[in-house]
Amino acid sequence: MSLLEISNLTARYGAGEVLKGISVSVGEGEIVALLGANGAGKSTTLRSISGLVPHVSGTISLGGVSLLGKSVEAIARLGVAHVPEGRRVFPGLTVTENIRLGASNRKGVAAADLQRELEEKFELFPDLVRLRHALGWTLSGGQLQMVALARGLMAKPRVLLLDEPSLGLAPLIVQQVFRIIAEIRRRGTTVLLVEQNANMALSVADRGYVLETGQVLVQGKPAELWNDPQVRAAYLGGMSA
Amino acid sequence: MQITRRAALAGVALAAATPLRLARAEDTIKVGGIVPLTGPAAEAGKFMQNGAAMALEKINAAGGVLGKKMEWVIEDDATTNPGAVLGFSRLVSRGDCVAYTGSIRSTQVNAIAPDVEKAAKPVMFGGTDPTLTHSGYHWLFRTRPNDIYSARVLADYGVNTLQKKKWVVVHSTDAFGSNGMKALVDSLSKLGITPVLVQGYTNQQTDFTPVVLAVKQAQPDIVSSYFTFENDLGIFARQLRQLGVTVPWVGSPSIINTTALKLAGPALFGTFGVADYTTDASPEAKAYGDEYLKRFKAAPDNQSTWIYDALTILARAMNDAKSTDPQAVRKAIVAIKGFKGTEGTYTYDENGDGLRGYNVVRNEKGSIVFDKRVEFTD
Amino acid sequence: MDVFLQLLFTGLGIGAIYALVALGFVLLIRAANVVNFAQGQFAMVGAYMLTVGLNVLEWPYWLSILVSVVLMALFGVIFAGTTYWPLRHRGGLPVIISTIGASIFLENIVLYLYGPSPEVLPNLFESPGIQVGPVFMDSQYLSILVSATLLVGLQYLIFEKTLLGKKLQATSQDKEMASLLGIPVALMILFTFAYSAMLGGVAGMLVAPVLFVSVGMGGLIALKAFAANIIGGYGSIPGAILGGLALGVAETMGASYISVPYKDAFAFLMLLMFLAVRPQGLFGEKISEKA
Repeated sequence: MSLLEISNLTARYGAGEVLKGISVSVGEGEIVALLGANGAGKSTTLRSISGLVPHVSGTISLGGVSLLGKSVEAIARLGVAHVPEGRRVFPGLTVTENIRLGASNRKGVAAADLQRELEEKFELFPDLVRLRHALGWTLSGGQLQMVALARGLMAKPRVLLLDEPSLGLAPLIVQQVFRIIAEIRRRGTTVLLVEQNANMALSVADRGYVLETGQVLVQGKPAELWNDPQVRAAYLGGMSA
Repeated sequence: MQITRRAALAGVALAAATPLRLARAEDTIKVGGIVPLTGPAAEAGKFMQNGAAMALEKINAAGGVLGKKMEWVIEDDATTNPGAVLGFSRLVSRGDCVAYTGSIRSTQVNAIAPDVEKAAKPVMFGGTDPTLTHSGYHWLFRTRPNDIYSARVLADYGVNTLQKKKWVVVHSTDAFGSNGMKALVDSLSKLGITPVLVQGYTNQQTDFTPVVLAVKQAQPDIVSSYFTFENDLGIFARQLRQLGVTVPWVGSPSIINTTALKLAGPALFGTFGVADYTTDASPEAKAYGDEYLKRFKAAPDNQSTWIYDALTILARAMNDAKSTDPQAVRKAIVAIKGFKGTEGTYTYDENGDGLRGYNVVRNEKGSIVFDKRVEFTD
Repeated sequence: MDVFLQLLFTGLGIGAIYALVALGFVLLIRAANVVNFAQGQFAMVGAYMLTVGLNVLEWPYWLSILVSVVLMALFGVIFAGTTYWPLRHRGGLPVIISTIGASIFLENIVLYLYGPSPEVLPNLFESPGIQVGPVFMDSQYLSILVSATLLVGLQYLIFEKTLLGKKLQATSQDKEMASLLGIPVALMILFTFAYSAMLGGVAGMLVAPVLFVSVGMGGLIALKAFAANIIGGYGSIPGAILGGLALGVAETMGASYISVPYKDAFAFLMLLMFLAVRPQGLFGEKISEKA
């Protein structure tokens, strides 16, 4: 039994069906990558897990507890941390405040413990130390991504959902971000990663799923996916940097 | 059981209907009236019905009109102009009214005026807008003094009785306030006085400091005012006193109305105002006031006196004319000279104005006392 | 100079009231994207609650205020539940129309319950005021200025120095993200409504002894508060405060030195000038850097 179990998930926005029966499982401590072109349903899968998509059916369960029909906040409290596309760092709050609010899903944690965890995040992201009191809107894309990751980790998530962490970042920054993702994994956090940059994603992932128009086209270990000619032609070929 | 209940209901219905149809006998002289039974003036409407009941009782006890009892049939005007128009047209379409009574609110009288001309029967009303009797209407008759006289009385009292020469005029910039200001400045200039300051303000202000400072800097020996809303008057009064202006103050009728007294409190003590009805102004006013107080356990005001005078004058005119023919009744009203009513002594002119004076009253620590009556002959 | 100081004092006093109402207005815009056209009626309802406490139940002043403030917070929650909640997913316009409807409803229900006769309330302090040199300071204006300062200070502490404040800010900046972090967004919005109603109510209670208590008092203030908002910068908190004060002073000065009958026109002239020359208002640029 894996930690996050999604089976036969369908999702609709208005009239259009975006997911047509997807099954994905993420084991404890794994990094699983969801790959695919724009509009394949990757982000929608993450949003469905977080409870942001109103019309879903199928099953989503975390450690055996069904998430389907639960409110966004309740799902967050169960240990799902979602770092959405575009980072969504609060523009009017400082870096420290943004990261601190990541723990909003946890109840009854002593202030001293939270403060200690906060400092740990700055250790993990040393670039942010000098930006502690900078407001969100003043940060660059890479800095925003780090704040968003740190904020996600403050939730002490059982599973961390990362949506396009490399989007819009310079190659050097992308590599930095993925080094951190690898580090996160090394520390034992389970990650479900959505990426268009398949090369980068498969370099850190244990397993991958390739989605096409709302369905799972193929799944497997990175090496298997690399060797699947169909996948390679459709999604990976053009991206070999 | 069924029958008893139905009988009881009928009884209730009859009882409810009775006050409106005082003399149910077939042969009565009917006067139609619009009354604010609903809307913001509903309470005033009650006072109006009180005054009318007293008038009818007295008229009918003295032999009625042309040997018959007089009856007042009413329709709701909902305190709105459309309501007044609708109510009046209902009364006209009854076809059995020989005359009508209108409203104490000028705007509603204005609204029904065209229909009044079509109905071509005398209509008594209480609004004080001077234009109502100066726009060529043939059938409107007023039982309160019009606003031209309030300005004249204010000017006369301030200049001749209080002996004040340095006038400040504070007025609302709405139609009522501007017309009042013009009439007052006019009356003052006839007495040889030009105000040192004429200061307008727009209704519904949150603060009157700029107005008060302007008044203060003009260093007047008397302040006069035309305020439309009591709230504005109250704020102005308080700030005027706070900033140290203590000279005498004469004001339009709103300065002595109950709401203004309540809101401004001590800030209005010692001020002078003009009032059309004051209990102590005449023996007739006093007699009416005493009886009203006895019957209704409340102090009377102009909401009931104007209708009392209106019905009394109609009855008298019909008896004088020995007819209910509209033209004859009209002639008889215009012929009235020196008739002592509760609002003053009526001498009608062709325009339909019967009163040319106001009572000057004083705010004596919150209660209104009669000071003197100022009458004009023109 | 004497005149100038007197005008400045009253201008600031009345401006502080505009600021308090504007502040409640801004908070709802930020937290719930609600342009609340009933904000002025919040002030009116607060003033009537105080009137009932003081004049009808004859409670002492402090108790009447305390109970009214608590009731206003409750009133804010009920207002949110009826006016905003059912329409929250329908976008801005239906909610705006709903608040306009609520403002009319509130005026009429108060008219029905209390009657049309305006009421007068005593100043918070018995003394009518003090003479400081050439300036007469009405004690109620002093109460207004002190209370407004305290309330703004309190709000600063809540919003800037507490975790609750940070969560409220997060909610107002990005609701979906806030809920992804496990912040109870609905509760935050309800809290903002309660707080905003309380602010409006307090403004009404403070201004009641000066303006008297009448059904129409709210509309009078709300119009100016709205203008203060635009002048200060739409949706800006410091903008609402400074915009309110600036408007109060400007219209008082304008009335005195230029023309009294055009007093209200100055407020709207200022509004038009800002819309034309600096539409973002005094503080409308992005979200300004904090100290």
